[in-house]
Amino acid sequence: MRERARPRPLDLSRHRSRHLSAGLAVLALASASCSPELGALPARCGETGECPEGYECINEVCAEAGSPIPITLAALQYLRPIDLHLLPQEGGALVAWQIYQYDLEAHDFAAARLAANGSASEVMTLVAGYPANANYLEPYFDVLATSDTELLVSLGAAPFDDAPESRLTQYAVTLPAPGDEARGAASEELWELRMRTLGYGAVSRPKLARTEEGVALAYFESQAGQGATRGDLAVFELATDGSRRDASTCPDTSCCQADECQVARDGNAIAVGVTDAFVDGDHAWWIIDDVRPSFLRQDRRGGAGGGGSSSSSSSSSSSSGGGSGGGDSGGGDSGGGGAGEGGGAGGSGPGSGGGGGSGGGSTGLGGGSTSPEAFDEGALPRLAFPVAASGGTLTFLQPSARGGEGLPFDPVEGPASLWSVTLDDLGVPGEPRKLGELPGMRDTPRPMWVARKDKPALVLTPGTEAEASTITVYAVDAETAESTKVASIDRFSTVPLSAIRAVVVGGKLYVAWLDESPDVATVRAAVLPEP
Amino acid sequence: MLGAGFLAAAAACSPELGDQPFTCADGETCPEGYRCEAGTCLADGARPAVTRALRVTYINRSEMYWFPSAKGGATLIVNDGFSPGARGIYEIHVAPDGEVSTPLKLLSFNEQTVSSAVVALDEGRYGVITMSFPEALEDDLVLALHALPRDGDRVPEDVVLHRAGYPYFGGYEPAYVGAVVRGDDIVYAFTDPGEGGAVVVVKLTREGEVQSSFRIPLPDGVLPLSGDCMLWRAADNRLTLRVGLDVIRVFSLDVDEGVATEVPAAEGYPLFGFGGSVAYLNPNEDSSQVSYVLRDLEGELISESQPEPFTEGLEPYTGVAYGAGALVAPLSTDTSFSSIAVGFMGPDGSFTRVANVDRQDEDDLYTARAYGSEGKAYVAWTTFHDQLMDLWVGVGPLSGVP
Repeated sequence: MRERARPRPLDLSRHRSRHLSAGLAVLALASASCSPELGALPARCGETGECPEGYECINEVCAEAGSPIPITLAALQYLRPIDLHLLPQEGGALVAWQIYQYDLEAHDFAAARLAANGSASEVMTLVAGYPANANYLEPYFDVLATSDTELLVSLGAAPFDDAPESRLTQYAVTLPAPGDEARGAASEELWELRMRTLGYGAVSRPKLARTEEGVALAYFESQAGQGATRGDLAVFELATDGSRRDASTCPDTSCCQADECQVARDGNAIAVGVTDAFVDGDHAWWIIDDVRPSFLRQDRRGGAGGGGSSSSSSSSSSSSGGGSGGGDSGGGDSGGGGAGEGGGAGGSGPGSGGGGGSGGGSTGLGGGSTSPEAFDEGALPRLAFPVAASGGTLTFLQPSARGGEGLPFDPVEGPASLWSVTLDDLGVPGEPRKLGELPGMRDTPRPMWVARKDKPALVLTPGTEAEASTITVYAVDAETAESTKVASIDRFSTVPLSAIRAVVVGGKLYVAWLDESPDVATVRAAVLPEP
Repeated sequence: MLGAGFLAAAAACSPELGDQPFTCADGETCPEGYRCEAGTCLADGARPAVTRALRVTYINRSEMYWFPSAKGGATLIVNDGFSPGARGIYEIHVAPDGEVSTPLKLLSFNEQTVSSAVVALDEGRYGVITMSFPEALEDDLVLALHALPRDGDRVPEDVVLHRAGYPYFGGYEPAYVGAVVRGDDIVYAFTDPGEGGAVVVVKLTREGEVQSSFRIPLPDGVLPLSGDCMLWRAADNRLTLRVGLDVIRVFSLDVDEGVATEVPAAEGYPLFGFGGSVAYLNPNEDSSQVSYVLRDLEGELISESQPEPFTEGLEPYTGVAYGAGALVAPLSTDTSFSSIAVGFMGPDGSFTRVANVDRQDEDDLYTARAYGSEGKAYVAWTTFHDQLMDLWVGVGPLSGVP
């Protein structure tokens, strides 16, 4: 007998659609029979575009004619903020998200192209019917474009059988040419591994990073036994087609199956995920956890990592919308950072950190192929998120401190700030240095940092209010934290904003965001001139 | 907002409304001709045979506890652990005639997911053991004993009698915690993921003072974040521990000596510990039938009931101590479970049906918990209703207990 084990956030999400339907029904009833006063933006359009007299259906919203309404890409019952991704493409961007199909226990992963004129393509299914136990966590996914028509999709998921180990599954996806999206995408499962886990809920977010020699994929394993409980960063080296460059030296979950493994986060939470990655010349910086964050800097000159020697730093955070930008990734010209969903703990001032320490450490449980000298480790303050890495220095943004009870949607207080931490020649992190203050901005939703070459970075945030009707765009000097408001995007909504993604391509700023109400999660997007 | 809109529409447009047209929260009004009872607007004069006490996001199958009520009847304590804005511990009074009170929130969890186990501290207080992940700037997994008033007789005030922190290792939600009262002691058990994972068994006074504790290394296959704990106290005060989610193991406990003896793994799902034996739910291959099996602590078969209808996905989860034996629910006459029967398993392995409550809903049944008092069986069950979960309560005669 299989356990029906656990609740999941989907329960409320699926409930939400029912409420939405009821709400619309009431609205329709009131409109038809009782003639209430309607505001300027009274409702979403009906299924075939119906709106009350005097309103037009513009991008699925009933609005007064001429209103600049952002496009709606998907209206879902529920979507976790981390399940919204934005990738640069030639002359546009690709928005990707997960579609939970709990009743089928098979989830889909979908995407639509966003054109420079603000229009969206038909929705394409990247991966269809990925098996997922409805009583467990939804799968996590990351997506990386290796060209305008080739994607890598990595999935970290709870088991779908009676074995306890989590799953790491790698897909290659081929997109149709732009304009031909109706043909749909084609996907191929390349490989799947079972991953060590501490138990229920201990599934890592996978993270893909473009490297000089191919692609690196990181997953954070957790395990317990023999009197020890520990976490391991597992880094897989992939070719650009998603295949593993080398076979596992370990055949199963009795040991680490990755090309590089590193014990990490001693004394810190380990049932966590890999949230971001930055490739900086010979080093890859892997960011672990978004509430109690830490980093592992991997020296890729030796071991399985190969000899990456890129001359410039770039975020490989496909999920954050920045993308690596270079190489054959499709012409994006911005980098980004900050893909996390926030949540969890309240913010503290930088400098607290704790934990961490320099690399090495025994492999302890289960062995692995760690090169102890290959990794340097450090901790970051609560809710801080790195935005750039260069020359042994990691720059991170500390959002405004939470007030109230310190919960994700409590009010926030004071300014945000920009910091850096530098590793010495031995790889030991020094004390964080404050670069300057930024305008107040919440950690939830996390601000979106878009790095730009030879230009100030762009930071997108609703500011201190998740319900703000506008997304503010700041230009920020990454060395001094000097900031200037350069644009704003009108959401025409005060529904709480739960995620923002952005990327700059070809002189345009592509922005996708998630409006999350108790009734529905809506993926919306806008394209504006690059500030 | 939806409710207001509906009421406005109703007032202006006079639609036809049924006997139970909509939910109502405590303090909210219902349309004229209706009353708010147990969260539902009921037409005046209507009296359902069973009552839907709550509609929530989810209630863990472990977190329904019955207690005798000083007002007569029984009280049900549940943890609404997942409804946005409503998470917390609720008390629901059920009268012998089946009247169900509006749920009273005893303890709020804000937006945290908290696992809990509830015991009777004394005639006036519940003891709620909670295990919660850290919030805000805190670092620890926190175990706490809260004293909360019983029978809704005063404004709930959260008095924390005991609090202990353990290293936090991450995860999605806390594993389940188990607790029982044994004489003057409260004993609780939970899984600490640290040092390879161990069940920690803590003995407290009823005022929360720690008397002793000991650790049981997790058996092979039981993972720390899947280390759900359940404690049973037998009529002779001996304690039994069940631990695990996918892989489950049972221990006989001597809390005073700090000793745990593992019971040999056996086929089936452990449902109750009688001190010298363990009852198991033993499904057939397609889970269309189950038998109730009793084994001694060496794993030797003592008895096995006749096959009972069952269905995949149903979670009896635990028996509830009653007299020298335990009440087990849900049973039924068919796999649709259109009624919920209650079984009584004696420490000698005897198995008898002792009560029955007819359901009104047709949703998929998840779990049920039964309680007996003064000739009445009080039964609570949860069902999947669309994407939500309903908590139902019914009362029926209790008879035939050996």
